[in-house]
Amino acid sequence: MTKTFMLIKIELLNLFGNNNFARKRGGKKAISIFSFLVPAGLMLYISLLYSFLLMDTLPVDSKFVMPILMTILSFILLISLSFYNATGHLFGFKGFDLLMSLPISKVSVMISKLVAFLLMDYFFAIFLVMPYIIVYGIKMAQPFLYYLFGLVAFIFLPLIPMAIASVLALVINGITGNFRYKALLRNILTLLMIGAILFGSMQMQSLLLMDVSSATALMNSIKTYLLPVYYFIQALVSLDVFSLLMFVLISIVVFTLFIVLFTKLFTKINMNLNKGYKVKNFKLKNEGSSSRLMAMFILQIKRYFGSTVYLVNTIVGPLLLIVFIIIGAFSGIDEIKLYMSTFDQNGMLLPLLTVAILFISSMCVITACSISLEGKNIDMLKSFPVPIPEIFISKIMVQVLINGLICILTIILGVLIYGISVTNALFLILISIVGSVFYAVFGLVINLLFPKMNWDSETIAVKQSMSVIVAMFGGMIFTGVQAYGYILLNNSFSFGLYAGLMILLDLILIIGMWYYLITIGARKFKRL
Amino acid sequence: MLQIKNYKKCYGDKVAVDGIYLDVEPGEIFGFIGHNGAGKTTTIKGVVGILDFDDGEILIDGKSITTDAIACKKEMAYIPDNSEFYEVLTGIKYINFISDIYEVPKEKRNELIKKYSDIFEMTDNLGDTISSYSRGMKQKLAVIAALVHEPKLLVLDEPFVGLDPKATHSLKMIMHEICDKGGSIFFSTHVLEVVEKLCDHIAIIKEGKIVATGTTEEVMGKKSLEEVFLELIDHD
Repeated sequence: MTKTFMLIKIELLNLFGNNNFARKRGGKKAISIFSFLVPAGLMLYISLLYSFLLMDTLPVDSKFVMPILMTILSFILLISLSFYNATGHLFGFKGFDLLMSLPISKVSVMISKLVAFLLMDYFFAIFLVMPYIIVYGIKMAQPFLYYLFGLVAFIFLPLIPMAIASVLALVINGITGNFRYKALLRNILTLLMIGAILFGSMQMQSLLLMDVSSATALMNSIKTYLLPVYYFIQALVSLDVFSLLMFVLISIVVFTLFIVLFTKLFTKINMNLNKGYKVKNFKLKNEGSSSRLMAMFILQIKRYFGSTVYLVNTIVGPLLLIVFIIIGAFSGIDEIKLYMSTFDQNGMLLPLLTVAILFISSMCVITACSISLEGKNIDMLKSFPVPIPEIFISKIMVQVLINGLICILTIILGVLIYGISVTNALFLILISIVGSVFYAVFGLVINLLFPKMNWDSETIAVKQSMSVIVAMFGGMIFTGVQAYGYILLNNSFSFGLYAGLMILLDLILIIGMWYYLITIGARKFKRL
Repeated sequence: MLQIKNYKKCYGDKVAVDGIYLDVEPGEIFGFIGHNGAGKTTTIKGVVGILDFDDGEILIDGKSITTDAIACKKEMAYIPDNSEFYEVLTGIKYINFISDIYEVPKEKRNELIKKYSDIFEMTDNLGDTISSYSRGMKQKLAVIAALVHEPKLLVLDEPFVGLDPKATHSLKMIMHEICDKGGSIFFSTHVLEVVEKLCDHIAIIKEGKIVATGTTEEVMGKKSLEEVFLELIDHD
């Protein structure tokens, strides 16, 4: 048991310890704490605000729709977050061979992995579930018993999403195990799955428009198709002990079934994932050559598409926009065109599209963890006869290519489907290129300030490192400030002039950041 | 070929290497030995331009690694003690990547890839992803990638770890071949028998300072290298 606890402790350090405040001193410590507290506070605030708004929006006799909506949303989000993290934590983690060779039982290893993973889900659930349970309690003046029910329900809520997500990850890893282009197939399957989850969550918006009888019908549907969710909601809304017990029981049964499956497949799946692809009858052919920069760039591209967690973390947001544009073309194109023409008449269409384009770029900061992802390869990379600025350029090129392509595709679809004028489209393409370069350089700067080189799973470098959080929020704040600036100044400046000034500002900042990269940044890089 | 002058490297307050001097002449195999944590890898990382250092100078073929790093790196190849790779690549893609980085002409690289992958019996495995390789195969790949750009100076940190006896023998032969053509080898190892038989020059480092250096015969005298090494390391 002691060994299991020791393993759990190590797992937790691995998961959460990368932003270890205690070891940092002075300004770095303050930045670390600030960078953790600000996003955490922001997420809590958004979650509370959303819950309050929902409660205020819903008619008096339909307030119970709020926990339905939020529970389904929490389930979906917990499934996606667990799915993201399952590969790398439960399966395909580094050090599997070493762990299994230690005089520790396989069960201890599995328990440590599962407990740490579950605690991570609770961490997410604090932001997703706690706020709406509290808000519903306050708004409906619920008794103390409600909060007790809420606490019990909260404790058991992550079990089913975690089990579903892990099984999905198991299935995808099982399908792609021995496939030559397994990274590509895994990327496609993962994107499809996330798309399906998001499509499902989009359908939920219709719940807000429901009257009481429709909501009752919905509860009946939930009872048929999502029984645990039904019991969870019944327990909370009606303070029904039977429903609470049923929810707990179903959660335990589902989780136990998952544990049985996990126990059976743990070794097999991990062995499979750690095994690379072997080609049969390989014949050596003459190899072509590329320039040094192109070779570095191709390597970075392969690195990007070779890591599902890296790709998915940076590409889903921008891809979603394309999906929305296409969905919009089939449902409600006239309505969207009407909105667009109204905005156009007010002179707000181009500013809004510009903000959308910049927002895409700020969500796609590929460079924010590209140095961290070098991990133990960093020494090898530093020994190559490649100037450090060239290494930086190869990383920037990946982001400009991926982000630029997505932006340009979005703009072309905008022209074809919604009739955005060619002049506006050309302006947006210019903005998207400048934005892509800006956020790419910005991401590198942030990554050099907050590098995370020691990781045993790419997920830690991609999803749990300070650089990614700071770059994403920093980028969004920068976009927000530019947009807010226009709102403040649109009486004194035409949009064309304002945008011109912002492009100039971006270019100056790009040059400034680039100078930082090739001077202080290069020295920091050498010290990694 | 390689000159290390007053090389000093500190990690915070701790002095890892304390002002050492070493010379590796063209055509020479230079063995660098010391106990764990003595400063071998820190010195090697300084030589190949991975680490900045606090004092001194390192010259590769007359050029400074500090002021002319790229030119220096082009002249040499480095094989680290724990061969880390971009595991998403196949073996052949990795070697080709290294060839691009070192700007090896197409015909030359194809000839050398074939030559060395045949010697190390890796030809059939070059199409596999590196993640499927065993430790020894990764080490062989590191050696092939290092040799494919015909370096003048080969810097190796524990090069024989993980290699099978045949590959070890092949590597020793190749080391001689490089030296016969005027190149140099600077390598660290704990296998003293290999140093004794292979090296022209030896340096022993202890707690960041060179405690013995010279030709193999000079350092050993009439004793075995193991005896000399243990005497020096145990002597306070």
